[in-house]
Parts: sequence; structure tokens; C-alpha cells
Amino acid sequence: MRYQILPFRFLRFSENKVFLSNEVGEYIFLTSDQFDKFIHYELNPSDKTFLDLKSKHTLSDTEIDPVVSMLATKYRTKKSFLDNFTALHMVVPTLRCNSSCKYCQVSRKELENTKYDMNKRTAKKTVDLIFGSPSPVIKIEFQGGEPPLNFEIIKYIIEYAEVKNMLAKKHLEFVVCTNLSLITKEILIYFKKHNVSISTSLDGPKDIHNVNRPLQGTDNTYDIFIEKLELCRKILGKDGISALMTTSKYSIGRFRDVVDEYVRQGFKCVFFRSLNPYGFAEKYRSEIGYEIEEFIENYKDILTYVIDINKKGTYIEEGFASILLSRLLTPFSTGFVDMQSPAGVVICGVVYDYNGDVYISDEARMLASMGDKKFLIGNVNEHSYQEIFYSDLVKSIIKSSCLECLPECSYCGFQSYCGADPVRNYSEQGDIIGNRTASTICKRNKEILKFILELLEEDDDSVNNVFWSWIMKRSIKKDDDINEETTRHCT
Amino acid sequence: MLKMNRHEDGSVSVDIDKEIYSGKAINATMYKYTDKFYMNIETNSEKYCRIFFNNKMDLNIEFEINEFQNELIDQQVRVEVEEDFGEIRNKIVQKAFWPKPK
Repeated sequence: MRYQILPFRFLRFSENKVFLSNEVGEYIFLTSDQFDKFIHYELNPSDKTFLDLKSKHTLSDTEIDPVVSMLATKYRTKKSFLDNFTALHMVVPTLRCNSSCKYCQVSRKELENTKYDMNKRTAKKTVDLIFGSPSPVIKIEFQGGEPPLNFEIIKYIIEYAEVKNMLAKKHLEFVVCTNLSLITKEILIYFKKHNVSISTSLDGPKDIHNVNRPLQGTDNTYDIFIEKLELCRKILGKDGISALMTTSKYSIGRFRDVVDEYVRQGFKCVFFRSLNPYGFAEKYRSEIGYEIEEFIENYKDILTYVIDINKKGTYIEEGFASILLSRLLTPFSTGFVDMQSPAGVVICGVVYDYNGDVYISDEARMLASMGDKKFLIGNVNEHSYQEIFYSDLVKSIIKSSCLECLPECSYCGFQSYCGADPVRNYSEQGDIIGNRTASTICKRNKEILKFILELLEEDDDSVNNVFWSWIMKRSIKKDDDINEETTRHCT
Repeated sequence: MLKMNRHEDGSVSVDIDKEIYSGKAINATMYKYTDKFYMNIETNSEKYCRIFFNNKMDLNIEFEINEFQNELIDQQVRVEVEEDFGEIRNKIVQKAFWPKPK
């Protein structure tokens, strides 16, 4: 019987295993023999393989239009991050910083150098521009430098945005990214009043954190961090603060210690991020860098370790795995800026520098701090919303970042779960499209996806329960729901 | 297995039957090998094209050519099934982004 093969992509997963996925991310494994029969129209409608493929919308033996309609609905859901345009607006109130992180991506400025502070005029223009976004959700995230060094401008932006929102009536959120060192009780009371949450950095236990993220003028960074973390939780509640980590050479081989530290400090999410090739990280690569293969091996080990911790009843989610699992197992869109198709730059998030310069992403700002302003798309003091967001430069970048049209990605079996990063490609390879065979990010994503799929294929109920608990943000222990705010970096 | 031709400059080439494999499949396969080899392609007859591999690293060339052949088959499968369902893919995407009724 001649059935209709529906759009799918495939890759050889192992010696005798073929991985097939369709346009909306539904997937299935076939043996090589089953795959050959499938593509040569030799499957029998009573075969289990036939029925499995039909249930995964990879073939059809009925009228095609209803199937197309259903897949179109799912496809629209998967791409719903496109619906409302930019929701995340990252604002840099100052480039000054009191940390001396070796991998700093933004080329921090000295504490006394106030010329790198955002002024009121630029702040006002920035908020005006932000409210030009059609998105019903506006999240203003303060990045640095160390944002509290220019707390007056943070307050000004928050209050001006709140006034504007009386008319706009959008869902308005604020996040301050900070090393916590300058946070005071007064600042926290202000944050509480204005519903501001905190995103901080914790790179691991004391020795790793102190080496990676030293504060200027003290050897005591970690202790200060812990003291301020307690203060934050006391005033903002335990869900008012989340943390991110960056992997340096010092953390390689120590991922389990990092997870233990996150559990000890009561965080519900740890997101293992590899170093970005920007700012000081690029300059000090030989001192703090590592091969992507080392990161991948460490990551695989840590994922099984985190799963085991969850199995024992402690909820802690690995953020990257959580995003990939949502993409593999649900039809929903995940708002992870770094991995979308078309790329999340501009569409999902945009950055306003201290001087009003607008960049397509935070990584683009980092690149500019290294002297390359390729991804500068305008200035709030000089250009209108239309001139910035609908510019030819933005259009050409977005056009060049659709996986569906990129070499190798266009037929990759993992396309539905992956995304394009034009700034990273440009930074690593000098070209926004990039060559996939030389891409460290492609290698990382493929290896990690394969590992997660292997775990899913084992079909171990206890592991599956953990995975679903991450997707649902719900501990496998009953009555222990996780506040999404606590894990917001994971989605 | 594809027959290998060894050349004086150290490169290796294989001849690919253009009637069996499309240009699209050949190019996609060559692209995947650009991290390991300097690749080149020449049309040496109406029926065949010749693909040159110049080793960037110290790789086992026999193994790599065998893998290349398997990849070429996969790429040709992709081209052929795409002919069958490409139109459906377009329909899905078109329908997904069709303006919703107000």
C-alpha cells in the first residue's frame, strides 16, 4: 500500500538506529531495516512501525488536509515566540563594576569612572522605546557592570516604566542582575515594593566562586555573597532570587561540587553554561578556557548526578536539559533567547547600553566592547523604534538565522530542538551563518541532545518522572510545587 | 565501496555517478567533510564527477571514504523524500502563519 510520507528529518543515531523527527519536534527511533522499509513504502498498515510513524505524524494513510491543519497548529504553537515580538529588554545602567571576573564579557570599567553611567535623558528615551514594543509582556532586566552602582537610574527607569504602564497595561516585570555585594536592606525593600527580582551569579563552592568572581579589594567574595543571599531571601522571599553559573577551567571536573553548592544554598535550578568567546573570556582563554569536549563530558556526568539527587527527593533542575526536554516532549515554545529559529536576537531580547546604543543581544554588546560594532542597530537618542527594529540590518540578520535555510541545519534531525546564534557564529568564525562542522555550539547541542535522548530511550520511570517534574516545574514529591520564578533562567 | 584514486600530491579522489546521486546530495555530503578535508570537485565526464579529499589531519582515509559513501546515500534519501513531501512542508508552514481570523 502506498502511504503518504509526511515531512521529516533524520540522522543516524548509532550503528543500527535512525532518529526521525518531524516539523513540530515529534520523534521516533527506527532500526535501519525499519527505516529502509519506511522510505521505500514497504511498511504494512498492520505493522507496529507503521502505526508508530502514523502516531508521530511521519506518515499518513488518510486524507492529508486534516493532518496538515493539525501539524500547522502545532507548528504555530512551537513558533509562538514570534507572536509578540520583543519581551526582554536588557538595560545597562552602568559599565562600572566592583568585581574582577576573569571571564567578564563586557569589559568592566573602573569604579570611579562615572562617564560610563547611563544618564536620565538616555534612560527616559530607553523606556519610551521599550514601550514601543507590541509585546503584552515587558521584562526590563538590568545588566552591568554592576547595576546597583547606578541605583538612581534603576529607580528612575522602574518608576517611569510603571507610570507609562498605567496606560499601556502590559505585564511588566523587573530583574536586576547583581553580584549582591552592594545590595542593602533599603535597596531590597525598594525591590520588594516594586516587584523586582534578582538574578545573581554563583559559580560553585567557596574556592571556585572566589577564583572565578573575585570582588575588588577583598578575598572574601563568597562569604559576602552568602550573607547577602540570606538578606535577599529574608526580604524578597526564597523565590525572589535565582542564580546562574559560568564554567571556567576551575569548574571542569568539579561540576558535582557546583551542584552540591546550589542544593546547599536552596536553589531550584542550576544551568551549566560554557564560556562565551567574548570580552575578557576571549583574552584570557588560555588561562580559564577548555575544550568543548571537556565541557560535554562533564555535562553528561552532571546530568545523571542531578537526576539522582531529584530521585532522592530534592528538586533541582538542570536548566539546559530542562529546555531541551520541553522541546522534545511538548508542543510548546520555550523562550530561550540563545536557541531559536529564527534566532532570538531582537525578536526575543534586545540590549540598551549605558550610552543608548542598542544591540541585538548581550553578546553583541560584548563584541562591541571588543571593538566590533557589527550588531549595533541604533541609539535611543537618535533613532525611532521603527528605524531600530525594522532596519535592513535587523532584517538581514534574522533572515540569515533561520535553521530551516542554513547549511547542514536545514536537514538536521535535531533542527526542531535547536537554534541559530548569528553573533556567536560571527565571533567564532567571522560569518553570521557559520560553518556547522567547525561550530563548538553545534557539537555541544548535538552531543547533549543525543545523551538526553539515550536517557529517554532507556524508558526508566524514575528518570522520566524527574524529567517531567522539570517540565512541569513540580517536584516528584507530592504537594511541593516549584515557583516558576525560581527557575526562570531555565525556560 | 567507492574506488579510491591516489594522487601524487597526496590527495585521494573518488568518482561519483551523477545519475545515481544528485548535485544537492553530493554538495551536502562534501560540506560535512570540510572540517576534516580540503574538498574539491571536478566534472570529469558526463556520467561521473570526481571528488578530491586532501587530509587536514592524520585520518584513516579508507574509513573516511566509507563513511562518506554512507553519508552520500543518506543525503540522496533526503533529496528524494523531500521531493515527495516538500510541498506538504510548505503547506504546513503557510497554514501556520496564515493570519488568524479576527
